[in-house]
Amino acid sequence: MPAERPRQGVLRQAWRIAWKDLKVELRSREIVYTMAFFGAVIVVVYSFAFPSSSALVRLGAPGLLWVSTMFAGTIGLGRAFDRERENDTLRALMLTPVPRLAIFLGKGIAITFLVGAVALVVTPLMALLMDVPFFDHPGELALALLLGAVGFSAIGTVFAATLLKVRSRDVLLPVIIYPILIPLFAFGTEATAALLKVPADLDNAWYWIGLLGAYDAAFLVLSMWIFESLVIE
Amino acid sequence: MAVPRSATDWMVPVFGLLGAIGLVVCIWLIFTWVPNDAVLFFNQRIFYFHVGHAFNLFIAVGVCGVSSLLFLWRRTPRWDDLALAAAEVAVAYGAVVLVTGSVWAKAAWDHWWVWENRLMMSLLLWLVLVAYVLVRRYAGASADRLAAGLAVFGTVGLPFIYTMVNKGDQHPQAGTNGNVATLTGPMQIVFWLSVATFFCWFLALIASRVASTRGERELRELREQGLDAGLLT
Amino acid sequence: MRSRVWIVVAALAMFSARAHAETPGPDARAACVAAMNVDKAFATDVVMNATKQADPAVLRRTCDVALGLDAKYAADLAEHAADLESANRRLAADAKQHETASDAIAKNERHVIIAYAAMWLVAVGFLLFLRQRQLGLRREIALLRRDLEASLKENA
Repeated sequence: MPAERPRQGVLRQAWRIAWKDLKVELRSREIVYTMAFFGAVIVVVYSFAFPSSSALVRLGAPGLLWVSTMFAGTIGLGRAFDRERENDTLRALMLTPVPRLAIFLGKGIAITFLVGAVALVVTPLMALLMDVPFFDHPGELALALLLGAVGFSAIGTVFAATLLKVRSRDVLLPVIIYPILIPLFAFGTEATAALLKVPADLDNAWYWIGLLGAYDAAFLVLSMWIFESLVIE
Repeated sequence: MAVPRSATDWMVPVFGLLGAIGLVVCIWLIFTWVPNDAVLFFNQRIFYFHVGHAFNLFIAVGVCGVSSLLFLWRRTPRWDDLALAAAEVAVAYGAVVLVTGSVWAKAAWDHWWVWENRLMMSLLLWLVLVAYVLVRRYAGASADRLAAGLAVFGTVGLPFIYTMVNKGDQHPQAGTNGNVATLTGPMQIVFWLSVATFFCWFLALIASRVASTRGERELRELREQGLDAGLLT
Repeated sequence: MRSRVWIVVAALAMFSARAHAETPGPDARAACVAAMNVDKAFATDVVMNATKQADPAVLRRTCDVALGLDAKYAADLAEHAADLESANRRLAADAKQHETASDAIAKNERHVIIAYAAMWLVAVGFLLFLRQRQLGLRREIALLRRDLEASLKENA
C-alpha cells in the first residue's frame, strides 16, 4: 500500500466492493428482476399447492415465506458468482491489495441487498395472494428477515466463492448450504409464526429473533475467519 | 504422519476384538439380565444400541469438526484423513441411530417417523454428514477444503440446533423416569457398557479407514514421484 | 324348665306379631285396590315388586301359560336368548384380544429384532465398504508395480 495514501478501513473497502457489485447490478438489473420473478412464481405455485382460504395456509405461510426467499436467494447467489467467474474477475479482485476480509464483507453486503430485495417483493405478494396478515408487526418481521438475509449471505458467500471453480457447483451449492441454513430457516419460521398468532406471541417472537441474531453472529465470525483459508485462488 | 503407522496397525485388531467381545456381552446382558421397562416393556431394549450409537455419533461429529478446523488452519493432510474417516463412520452411526430409532418409534408410538425436534436434529446432522461425503466425492480438486468448511460450519451449528431442540422436547426418554441418569442398576451398567463397546468399534473403524486413506495418498504420491523421475508414463 | 317355658312364650309372641303384619285388615286391602285402580304407575310398581319376591317355579309356570297363549312371545324370547349369547361371546373375544395385545406389547419381539438386524446390516455394509476401498488400493498398487516393471525393462 503506497505510503502517501491513507490506509482505508476494512469496512470502507468492503463498502466500495459492495457498491461496485450493486452498481453493476443496477445497470442490468438482471439478478434482481429474475430473483423477484422467481420468488413470485414460487408463491403462486404454493398458492396452487394448498387449498387457499383454509387454515392450512395460515399455518404454512411463515414457512412458505422463508422457503421462497431462500430458494430465490440461492438462484441469485449462484448468478452473482457466475458473473465473477465469466471474466475471472474474482481472481482480479483477490490480486488487489485489499484484505480478503474486505472482499468477503463486500460480496456479503451485496448479496444481503439482493436477498432483501427479494423479501421485499415476496412478502407483500404472499400477504396479498394468501391473505396472511404479515404487516401486523412490520418492524419485527423486517428485523427477522434482515437477520435471515445476513446469515444467508454470510454462509452463501463463503461456499459460493469456494465452489467457483468446481464443475458441479450448481448442484453442490444447495447441497452444502441448505443443511447449514436449516436452523436459520427454522428460527425465522418460528419467529414469523409467533408474530402471526392471534394475538401475536411477541415474547416468543423475540426469543427466536434473538436466536437468529446469535446464529448470524457466530456464523459471521466463522465465515470471516474461514473465507481466507477456503478461497485460495 | 501424525499417528505413527504402527498406531493404526494395532488399533484395528485390538479395538475390533474389544468391540466384538463387548457386542456379544452386551447382547447377552440385554436379553438375559436387564429387566423389562415398566412402561415400554420389551421394546425398551432397543434403547441400549440406539443411544449407544447416538453418543458415539456425537463423538464422531466432534472429531470430524475439530480435525477439519485443524486441517484448515495447519493444512496438514493427516487431519484431513482423520476428518474424512470420522465423517464416514458418523454417516454409518447416524444411519443406525435413525433406523433403530424409527423402528423403536413404530413399536412405541406406532409411527415410523414423527416430526419432532430431536428427530429433526438427528436427521439434519445426518444430512450435513451425507453432504460432506457427497462433496468429498464430487467437488474435484477443492473437495477437501470445501468439505472441511462444511464440517466446521455444521459443528458450530450444533449448539444452536440443540437449543432449539431443548425448547420443546417431547422425545421419549431412556426409561420410564427420565434420562440416562435416572436408570437403575443393570440398565445403567449395560447402557454404559454398550456405549464403550461402540466406542471401541468406532476406534477400530476409524483406524482402518484412516489407514486406507493414507495408503491411497501414499500411492498417489509414489505415482507422481515415478512420473517426475520419468520412470512412469 | 322355666327357661323353656319363656322361650315358647317369646316364640308365640313373635309369631303372632308377624301373622298380624302379614294379614292386613280388609279395610287396608280395599284402600290398596282403589289406589291401584286410580294410579296405574302405583299398580305397575306393586306388580313388579310382587314379581321380584315371587317363587321362580310359579313364574315359570306363568311364563309357560303366556307362551302357550302368545306365539310371537316365544319367538321374541328365543331372539333375546341368542342376543345374550352373542354378547357373551363378543366379551370373551375382546378379553382374549386384550390379552394377546398386552402380551405383544410386553414382548414386542418383532420390532426389537428388526432394530438389531438393521444395526447389523449397517455395520456389515460399512465393513464391505472398507473392504472395497482396500481392494481398490490393492488394484492400484498392482497397476503401479506393473508400470514400474515395464518401464524398468524398457530402460534395461
